[in-house]
Amino acid sequence: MQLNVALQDGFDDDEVAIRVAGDEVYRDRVTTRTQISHAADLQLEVPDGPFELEVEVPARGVRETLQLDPETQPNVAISLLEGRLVASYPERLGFA
Amino acid sequence: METYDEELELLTADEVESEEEAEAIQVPEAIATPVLGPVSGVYARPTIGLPISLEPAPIGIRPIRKEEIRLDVDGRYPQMTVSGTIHGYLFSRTHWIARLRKIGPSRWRGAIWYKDGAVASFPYTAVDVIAAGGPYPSSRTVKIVFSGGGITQRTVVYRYASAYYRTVNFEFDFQQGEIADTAINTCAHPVRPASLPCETLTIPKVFQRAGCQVTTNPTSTVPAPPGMTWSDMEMHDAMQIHWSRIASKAQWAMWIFYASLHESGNGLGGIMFDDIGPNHRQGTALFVDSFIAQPPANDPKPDAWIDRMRFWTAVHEMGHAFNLAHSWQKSLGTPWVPLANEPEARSFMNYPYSVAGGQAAFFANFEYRFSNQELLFIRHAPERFVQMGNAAWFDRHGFEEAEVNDEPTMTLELRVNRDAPRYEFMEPVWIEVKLTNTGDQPRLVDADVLDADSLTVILKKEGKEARQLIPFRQKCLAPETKAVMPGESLYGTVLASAGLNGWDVAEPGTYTIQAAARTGDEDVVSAPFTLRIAPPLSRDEEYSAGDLFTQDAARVLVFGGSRFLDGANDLLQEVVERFPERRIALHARVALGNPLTVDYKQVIPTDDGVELDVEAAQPDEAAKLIGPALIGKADIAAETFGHIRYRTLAERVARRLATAGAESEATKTIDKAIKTLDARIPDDRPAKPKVIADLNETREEVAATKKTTRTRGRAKAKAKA
Repeated sequence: MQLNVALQDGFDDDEVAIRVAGDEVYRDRVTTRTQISHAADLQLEVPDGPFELEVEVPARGVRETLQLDPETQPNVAISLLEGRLVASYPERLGFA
Repeated sequence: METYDEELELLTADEVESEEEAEAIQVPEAIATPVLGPVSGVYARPTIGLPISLEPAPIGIRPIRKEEIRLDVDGRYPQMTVSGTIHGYLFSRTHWIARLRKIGPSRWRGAIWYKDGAVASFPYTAVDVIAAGGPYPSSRTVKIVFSGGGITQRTVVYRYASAYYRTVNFEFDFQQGEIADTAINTCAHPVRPASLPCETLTIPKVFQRAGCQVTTNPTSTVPAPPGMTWSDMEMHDAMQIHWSRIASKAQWAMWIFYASLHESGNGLGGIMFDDIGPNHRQGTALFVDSFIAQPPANDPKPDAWIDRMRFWTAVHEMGHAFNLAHSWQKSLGTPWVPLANEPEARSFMNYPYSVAGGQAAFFANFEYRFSNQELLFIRHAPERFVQMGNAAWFDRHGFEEAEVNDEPTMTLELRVNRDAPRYEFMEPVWIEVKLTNTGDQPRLVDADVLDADSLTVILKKEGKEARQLIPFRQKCLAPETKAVMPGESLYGTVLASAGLNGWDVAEPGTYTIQAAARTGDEDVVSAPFTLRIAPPLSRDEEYSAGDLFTQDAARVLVFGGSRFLDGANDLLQEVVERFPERRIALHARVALGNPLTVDYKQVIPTDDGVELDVEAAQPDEAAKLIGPALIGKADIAAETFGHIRYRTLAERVARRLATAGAESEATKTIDKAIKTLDARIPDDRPAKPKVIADLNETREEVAATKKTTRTRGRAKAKAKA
């Protein structure tokens, strides 16, 4: 099943690692373009049922583990705000 | 060009109530008749053709060039706010904002909660606002009594100027083959607020309701790019070619481009792409074939949904060009005031599908408007924060409000007389200013146009805010004009290091200095001049600098000495003794010796009033102090003081020493100046022959003074005998 993930606000040349059920599926340096609140977006193959999505910004020492069910939460937007990774689940991912 | 002057759908002021409480202040009773009809809009202080003074005047903004206020208490989305901007010449200005509470018919009161610019010189804390006049806007006035801050109240009457807070120009251009409307039927889609009026709403009308007078240009067609998708750079290039208002400057204008798709794909609905080059926020685009053209599967009216999303996207991107952030980003970055995030706002700046309940919940309550804090920003924030193409203060637009002639007939140059503009630590920075008539007609200018207090001088240390030099000396002279012939130049000098603001150019680092001179109705702006201050050579210098960088020491240096400011004199004496090889020692020597060259008068307070005390000149002591600087190190003196000031000092000292009887030192001083300036060719600019000729004349004058002094001395001796 596919999960849409967007890295949104607060990233400034940060290396971000994303793990699906413990397996690293993404690692890259990203920077937010503030006028579209967009640093990166990706589609991940994830289990059909609930699973753990782990997002880490190693250089800042922050990590967040989310319990997700892609059936009900097909879109995840993650921002780095005040030293914390904050997730939201918009109806759809798109930028403007 | 089409102008939108539609009816503003204004409510009357008395229909608007505010729940805000303002602090109680003492104000005079209202004497004006309440206004019939709405009063919101811009009011300006009447201009009388000449600079007008303001008492008590903010020193950094004197004289006032113009003053306006924006009253926002009725009409569409009133913010119960009044804001004002006081413009001095060129750079200086004060911007203030007050929150208002209605206290009577056509009368409001409130506290000033925001200040920007010359804030230290605008101490008021509260306003009392009274609107008066008839039903016709042109007859309306607003009287504001400023109070608080521990100074006398200030009362100003402003006249109606406009119902709009800003005036902005839009140009909508379309990629070839793309058709999208800039208007929408607000009731075309069934998911909408029940109370939403059905109307044909245009994009200009949205911004009119936000407080902007909108003009539009004819549209033009932009050829599709290869591959049919657009990169940011391609759109920026297209803007350069197709936007009729393109200009490398801040202006109230933007380009809105209706394109097919961005190269990043379907997920980008629109973008304020213009963060390229020095003038950001002038260009926006929406991608009409992106996800904004993909309605939800079961939407009851897909075509109307698409029209609405395109309309929303266009206004959203235009909001970015006004420097509005996303609703959930308000607290990020550097907001103009502390802002709260508004993740659930039904604003053009929020993403419809990100609110609780998704896009259907958003549009069910969306009234095609900006939020109140966004409206406050558009209407009342300092212009440079909002205006398209403007940037961080002075980073790229030092003189954004200068009235610069498109075809200037005068030039202003800043320069120093050294190979590279590098200064020792503690070395005072004297800048030379040259104003040249480059036209083919004589120009009349104020005789003191290049005096420090006539110029506007901006100082900016790398990485710091720009500051205006506020000179110690503020003259009040009867106007006198001078004709500058074609090709002729006027010269002046300015101490850039320090003024009433303190020591602005002193710490080690790189500084940019820019100046402007007012010549008639035209501002002549110099190119930025960059200089570098070296770090201290020792901890000892670092400690001494703390004492040197004071107001008194700066005053003594700029006024050429004092016999009154003993503390500063002691400090300069210490500098001479401890750092004899450093350039600051030359400045200290001249400042210490100069007052000793003449009989020095001081007014002494007594029980009966005042009496005049005269201390006799001490020419030998003066010569001992000044000689090692102006004679012993003449070449360095010419460099550190600059040729103009060095010459001025040498001539003045020579004349005074001769008058006081130190004839030999007087002659040596002027001879050395002639020899030094004749030999120096900094930056391939030798001294003008006239300068050397004038110095030779001064030498003859000094010689004549010596003769007179001897004759008078002999005559006196005879009389005694």
